[in-house]
Amino acid sequence: MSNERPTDASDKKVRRLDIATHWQLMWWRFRKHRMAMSGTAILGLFLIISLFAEFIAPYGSHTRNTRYLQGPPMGIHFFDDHWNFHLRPFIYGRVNKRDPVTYRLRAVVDTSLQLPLRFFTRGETYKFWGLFESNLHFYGIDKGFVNLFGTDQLGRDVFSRLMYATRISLSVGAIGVFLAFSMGIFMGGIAGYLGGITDELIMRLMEFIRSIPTLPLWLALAAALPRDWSALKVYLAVTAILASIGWTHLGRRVRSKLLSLREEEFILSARLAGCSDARIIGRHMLPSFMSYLIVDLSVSFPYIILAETSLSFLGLGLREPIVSWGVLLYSAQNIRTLAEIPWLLISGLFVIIAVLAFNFMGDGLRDAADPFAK
Amino acid sequence: MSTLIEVQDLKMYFPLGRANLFSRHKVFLRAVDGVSFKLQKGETLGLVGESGSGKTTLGRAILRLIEPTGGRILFKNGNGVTDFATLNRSQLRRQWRHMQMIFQDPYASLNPRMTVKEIIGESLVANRLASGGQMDERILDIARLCGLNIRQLSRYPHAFSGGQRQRIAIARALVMHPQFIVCDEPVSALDVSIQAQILNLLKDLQQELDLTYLFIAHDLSAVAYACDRVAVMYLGRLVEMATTKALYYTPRHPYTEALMSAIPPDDPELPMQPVFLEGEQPNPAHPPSGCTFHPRCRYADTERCVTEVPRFREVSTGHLISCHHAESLTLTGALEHQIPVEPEGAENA
Amino acid sequence: MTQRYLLRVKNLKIALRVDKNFIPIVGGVDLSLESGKVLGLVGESGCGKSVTALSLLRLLSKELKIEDGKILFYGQNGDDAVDIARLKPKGKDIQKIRGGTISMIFQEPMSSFSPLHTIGYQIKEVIQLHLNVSKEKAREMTIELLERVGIGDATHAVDRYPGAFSGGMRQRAMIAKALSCTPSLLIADEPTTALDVTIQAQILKLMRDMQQEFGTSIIFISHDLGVVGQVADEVAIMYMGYIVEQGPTKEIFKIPKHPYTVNLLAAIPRLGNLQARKRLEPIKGTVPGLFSRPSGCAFHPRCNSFMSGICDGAFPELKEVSENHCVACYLYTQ
Repeated sequence: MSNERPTDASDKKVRRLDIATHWQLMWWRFRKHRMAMSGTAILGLFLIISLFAEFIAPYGSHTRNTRYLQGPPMGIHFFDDHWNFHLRPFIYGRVNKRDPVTYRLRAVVDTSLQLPLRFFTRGETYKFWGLFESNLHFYGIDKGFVNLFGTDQLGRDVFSRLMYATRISLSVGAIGVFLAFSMGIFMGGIAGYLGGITDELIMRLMEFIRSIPTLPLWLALAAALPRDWSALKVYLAVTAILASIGWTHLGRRVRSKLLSLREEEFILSARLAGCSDARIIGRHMLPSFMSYLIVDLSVSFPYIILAETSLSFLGLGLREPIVSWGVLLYSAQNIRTLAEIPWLLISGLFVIIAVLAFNFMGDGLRDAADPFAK
Repeated sequence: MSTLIEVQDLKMYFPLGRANLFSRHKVFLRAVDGVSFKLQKGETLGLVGESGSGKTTLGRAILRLIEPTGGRILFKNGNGVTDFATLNRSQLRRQWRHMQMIFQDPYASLNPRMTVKEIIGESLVANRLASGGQMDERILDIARLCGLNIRQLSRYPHAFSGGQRQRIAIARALVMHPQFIVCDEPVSALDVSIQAQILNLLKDLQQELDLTYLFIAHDLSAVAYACDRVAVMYLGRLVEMATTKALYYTPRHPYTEALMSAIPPDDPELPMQPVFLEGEQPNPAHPPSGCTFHPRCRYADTERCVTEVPRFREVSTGHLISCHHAESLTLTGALEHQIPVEPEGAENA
Repeated sequence: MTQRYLLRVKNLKIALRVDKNFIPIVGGVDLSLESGKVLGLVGESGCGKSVTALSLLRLLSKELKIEDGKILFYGQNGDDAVDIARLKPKGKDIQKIRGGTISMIFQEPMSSFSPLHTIGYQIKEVIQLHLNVSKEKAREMTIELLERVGIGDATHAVDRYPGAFSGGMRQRAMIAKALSCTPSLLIADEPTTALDVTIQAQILKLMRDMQQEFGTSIIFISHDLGVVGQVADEVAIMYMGYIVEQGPTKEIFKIPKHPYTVNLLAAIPRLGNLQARKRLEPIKGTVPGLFSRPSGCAFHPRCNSFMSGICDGAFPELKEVSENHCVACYLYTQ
């Protein structure tokens, strides 16, 4: 037998297990899951983008650049035509030339114009979250225009619009999930804990809502929104619509979890100890499946995002001047537009990445939230 | 000795729906089917029976953790008699400080997200009995009494072994100084060498704090050690109740005889001569008519035993039994085959 | 005349390897089982008895590895032994042995049968895997087996699903399945622990009868000394991965040598003591966790005869102190 030293209780890691709280154990397990960690990192990046959209985007979401319409994405270069290395990345300038065949103005790459990217530079003025003004941008260019993801038919910078869209899409997701969760936990909670008639009524309500076909329901509700509502009102209404259906899924799961928890021995002990119903639910039951809720949360998020994207894509959800990923895709409905401006689909890519990231994170959370090994 | 608790005709029926689509009669699972007994202050009453006997359900019904379908639970509380069964929810919550329960599974009965200190002190908080320094003192006192290391009270249950967790559960049950504890299989899930620790702890605490126990278990040897009197349950009914010695040594009910003969003797050289019961445990939703034990009883007759339910009655002082033929049966007990074994190696230990 | 050995385990070491941790579970076990005999393996949770049993059929999960030792199985032919420890865990050789020459029954009768197939199907499956018989013959054999183990109305029972059987019945069916190919060794891991005491008595009798009839050797694992006392010819006591005492059942109960055995017998409630009103003597302390294995004799922190400098040095070897009776304790090896 090898002379390996068996792992011992004096090993720091083993000792720490003794006094670790449930959350610490969960975090340690989560950390080992590489896919989950990368998913979380991506979501972290998205979060930063949402928070600092104005700063990261070089232009506003409606700023038009008439000199570069339907322009393809501009590549970042480190090496120039003569293979010289430049530390500072740069883009090539574009000049407009008239196409001899179609007589249309087209932007053509001019390799003689090297425009270096500047970081933390001054550019367009914006109001940070509508609160204070600034013109500091993450990157920008001294003269000319930089469109890393190209421009659309109105000359708007796709990159900038994507940054703002990230904020909107994620916040719709967040608010929608929050609303759905609150409703779901509340309704499912009282159904599961009280049982009896309350349970029956709430269950029937949930089943009724869920039996209505979702897409037509959304479309109907969204179409019912008055066309003259402000974009903000529409935004809130859309979120509320999404939440009003989403809560049933969670509600049902919360209810069944509570029903099974009710018979657990530590809950019975809590009753015997004289705890009130509120204390039992709040102090004993909810924490017991909090980790389960968190997993659920991370999986519900992408659903709401996809739902909003679909609605807006069909023109029934958010609309201009609010930009979300779905709104950006709206203009990609047209085959001709798609053929000419395929880079508009990059927002679809963002959706895919976000959904995947949430799923990876959810996988990791689910694995980490396993109950204590007995 | 005064009576602390008197249970009268306690019933616990679980509805199972109808017999068939057309019948109007509802089918019930009679987990506890009319149980009556008296519990004396300071004693340990054992409750034995096999799976399906209803003993765990009875334990929970007495405390009203589940709502009994019928019957009375009279609790002599010092200032009069309270019928536990008629209390409303908030009165019940307050009464629970007098009666507590210790559960079988030390892993499931402690909230894994609370520290041991919080677990033990919870009832003090919930009932607003103490707070701050006074609460801490009470928790430390009871923890010490239960053999816990008071420096580990801020840890979480998963850091403790099964035996220690059971001590935590006992401390939690005792912190409010109740008078009556239902011990539902308190040692079944523990290692054999730890069982003795907990059994002795329960005995010592009973002396120290003047407790009364209902000791529910399926391990007949442990029950014999821990209990003053023992009751046997079969299919929701009590079939026999007597002092431990009388029940084990001179059982009067055929089912008890079968149970006792199935205990492996201390001395491995003595062959077991178990009384084998015919057939299977009947479905509790469709119990046999008359004496529910009759299909498996080798002494059953074909008339009275099949049609008439025997009464639970006293056949000799302190010895109750429900059998039509109690007077005429001579049954063998467990202890006839038991000889106290004194291992020769004992001096070395 | 000397009995033939059926199984000899020599210095078996099994360790748990997970996440760069290395934890010995079984530290060097020596066992010998004579053909036709019943060996009881007794110990509390964590002593390694189930792990030892599973290793005999190479059924350990992937984190548990056999680090060293031999498992010599002699089989019916007597002299040539196969070292099971050297066989590939997923190879054909061990698959032939499992169910054919060595079979196993477990504690939970519910989880040993698939709820989606009939009892008959699952027993026939074993028969057809190891014996070269037709489907009809296999069915015939199954019905006969079910009758032999006391399941009434076997011709109908064979087509019923496990869910329709009670715990005791399922355990009988499991015994039928295990004995279907007349193995020379049956490993029974806590077969009666989950059963009611009256059913337990029936199953014990059944096992003894089957053992007489088929001549099967049995390794009977349990934490219940009383039960083991009834079925076993020899008893081995395990503590923290080592055999601390092994000997004929009578002797272990009447003249236990190892302090752990002595203490265990004094700590179990036994009816004989009821008359004498004796107080149970618990073993002080608790079984140490996997990470806190004491040095030397693993029992020394809880032993009343602890000798400093000796017991905490190296682990004592298993030495024979009287005929067939071995102890691993420094009290006997001076």
